[in-house]
Amino acid sequence: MNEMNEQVIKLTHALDVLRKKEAAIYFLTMDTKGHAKASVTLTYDIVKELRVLGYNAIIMHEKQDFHDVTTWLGEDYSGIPHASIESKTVQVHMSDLVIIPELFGHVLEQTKDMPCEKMIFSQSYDYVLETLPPGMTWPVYGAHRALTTSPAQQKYLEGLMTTVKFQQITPKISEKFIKSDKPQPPLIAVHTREARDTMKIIKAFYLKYPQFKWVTFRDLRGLTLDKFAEDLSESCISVWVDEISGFGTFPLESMKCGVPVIGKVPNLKPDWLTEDNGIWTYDTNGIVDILGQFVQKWLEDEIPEELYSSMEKTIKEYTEDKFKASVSTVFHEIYDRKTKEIEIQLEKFNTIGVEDDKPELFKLEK
Amino acid sequence: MDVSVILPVNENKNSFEDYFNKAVQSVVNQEVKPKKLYIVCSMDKELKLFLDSWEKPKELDVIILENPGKTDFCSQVNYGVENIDTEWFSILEFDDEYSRHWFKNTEKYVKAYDEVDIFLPLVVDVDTENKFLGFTNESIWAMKFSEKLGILDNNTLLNYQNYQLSGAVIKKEFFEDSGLLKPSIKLTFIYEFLLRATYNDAQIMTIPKIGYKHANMREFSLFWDYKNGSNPLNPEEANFWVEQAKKEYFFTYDRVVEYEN
Repeated sequence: MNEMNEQVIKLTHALDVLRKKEAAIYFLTMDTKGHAKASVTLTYDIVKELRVLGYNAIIMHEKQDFHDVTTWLGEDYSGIPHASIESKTVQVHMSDLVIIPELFGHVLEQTKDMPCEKMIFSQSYDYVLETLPPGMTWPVYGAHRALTTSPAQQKYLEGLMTTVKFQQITPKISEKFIKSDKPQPPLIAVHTREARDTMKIIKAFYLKYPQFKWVTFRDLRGLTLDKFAEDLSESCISVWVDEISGFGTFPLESMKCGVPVIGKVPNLKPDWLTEDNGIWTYDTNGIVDILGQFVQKWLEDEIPEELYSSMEKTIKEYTEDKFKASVSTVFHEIYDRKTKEIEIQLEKFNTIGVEDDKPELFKLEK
Repeated sequence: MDVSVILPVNENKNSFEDYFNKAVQSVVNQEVKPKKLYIVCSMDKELKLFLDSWEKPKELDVIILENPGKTDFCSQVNYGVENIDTEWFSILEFDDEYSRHWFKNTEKYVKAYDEVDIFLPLVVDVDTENKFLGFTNESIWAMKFSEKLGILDNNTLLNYQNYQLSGAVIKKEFFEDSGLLKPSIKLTFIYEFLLRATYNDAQIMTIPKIGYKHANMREFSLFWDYKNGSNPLNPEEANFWVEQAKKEYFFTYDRVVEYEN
C-alpha cells in the first residue's frame, strides 16, 4: 500500500504542478555557435511565447559552454532560462516535458528512461532518419508524439512514424522583416544551404550576363538576425536554393520584405508555395537564366504587380498573432491531455481504494 | 511631376523627323507626365517649316522656344533652362527616347531622396539598328566603385568619365547656381559639368531603372561628328578636353578655352 501511496502522492503532485503550469518544458536545442539558424529561432520564439503564457519553458543544451544566442538573435531573447545536460543539475520530473529536435536522435537512447514525457520537434524532416539506427522509430525510445511546422512535413513524417501523433505549430516571420522605406537598390540576396551553391550562382551569373556585372550579390549566411533582415530588405531580388528545406522560412522572410524570390522547389514542396508568389523552378542550373531575365525585367520596371500582391497574401498566414494562437492551442492541448492522463491514473488508484489512506493534502480536486 | 523636358533641335535633316517623333512619343507615353515639353529650336528655315506644320500631341503642354542665340547643344539647353518654370528639368536629345516608367520612377526617388540634386537614368546604349550595346551610368551601383553605393562623387569622376546627362532629372536651381553647361568645352562638357556639380557638393544618384535609350554614334550626331566628321578630333585633342574639364570645373562660369595644335 505504501508504494501505491507514494505513487499517488507523485501523481497528485504532478497534477498540481501541471495545473499551475510549473512543470518544466525543456526544449533541447542545438548550439549554433553564434550563427543564425531559422529552426533555432523558432525554438526560441516558442519558448519565449510559452513563458509569456505562463509556462515554465526552458532551453536545454547538450554542453554547458553553449554559445549565447543573443549575439545573433538579439537582446529580446536574453531573459530565457537555459539548462544543460552536461551540468547534471537538471532534475526531470513526471510532469515535465522534454522536447527533442529530430536532429538529436542520438540523445533519444539517453533520455529513454527519463520519468517524463518526451516529444519530438521536427522542423527538418530530412534529418529524421540520419541519427536513428536502421529500423528504429521514435516510439521505441518512448516518444509517441511530435510537433512539426507544416502539413507537408506532417504528411511525410506520418508515413515514416505511423503510430506517432503529430501537432503543428505555425511559424511566424519575425517583425524584424519589414519593407525598406526607400526604393530597393540593385542588390541580390542569396541564401543557399551549401556555400558552394551561392558561389556557383554568382560566378555563372557574371559569366552569362556580363552586362549586369555591376549588380551586387549578398551572401546572407552567418549574419545576425538584425543584419540579415536589414540586408534582405535592401535587396531587390532574392535567390533561394535549399533542396531539403522543411518549412522554407527564408522565402517568406523575403516576401515580407517585399523582395521577390527566385527559388528551387525543395524536395518537399512547402505548403505556402504557389505558382504566383515567386519564380520557382525544379532545375537548379536554370536559376541563373531565370535570374538574368528577372534582373532585366526589374531594371525595366516590368515586374507584374500580381507577384507582389501574391507575396503579401502568402505572408499574411505567418503573422505573430497566428503563431501565438498556434503555440497557445498546441500547449494547451498538451497540458490538457497530460492532466487527463494523470487524472485517469489517479482514478485507477481510487477504484482500488487508495483514496481512503491518502493524506488530506493530496486529495484530488474534483 | 514638377519637371520640364527640354528638347533641343537644330536642323531638319538626316531622318530628323522620324527620330524627333519617336522622342516626343516617349514623353507622351510616360505614366507620370512631365508638366511641360520645351522644344528649343534654332532659326533654321527647314526646321521652322517642319515645326510650323507639326501637330503638337494633345496629351502634353508643348512650348516651342525659338533660340536666337548660339545653337550648340550646351547653349540650347541653357536657353531652355532659363525659360522653364518647374523645379526640375530633363534633357531629351531628339534621337533618344525615355523609357515609359522614367518619370514615375523619378517621382518615387525624388520623394525618397530629397537631398539629391541630379537623378541620372540607367541609360541603354543602342546602335543604329537599335541593338543593345551596353549601359551607361550603371557603374556607381557596383560595390566599392564609388564612395557611396549609387552616388556619383568627385573622386570617382576623376578616374572614370563615362556618364550621360541626357535623360537625367536635374534641379533647376542647382543647375543655375552651379553655372549651367559650358559651351566653350568641346567633347567633355558633360564630364566638366558633373565634376563641377560634385565639387559643389551636389548629390548625384543613378536611379537603377532603365530610364533612357541613347542612340550611340548615330550618323551625323555630335559625337559621331567628333570622330567621323569633316574635322575629327585627334586623340591628343580628346585628351586635351578631358584634362581641360579637370581644370575648368573649379570655375563656376564658362571661360573661353581653345585647343591649339
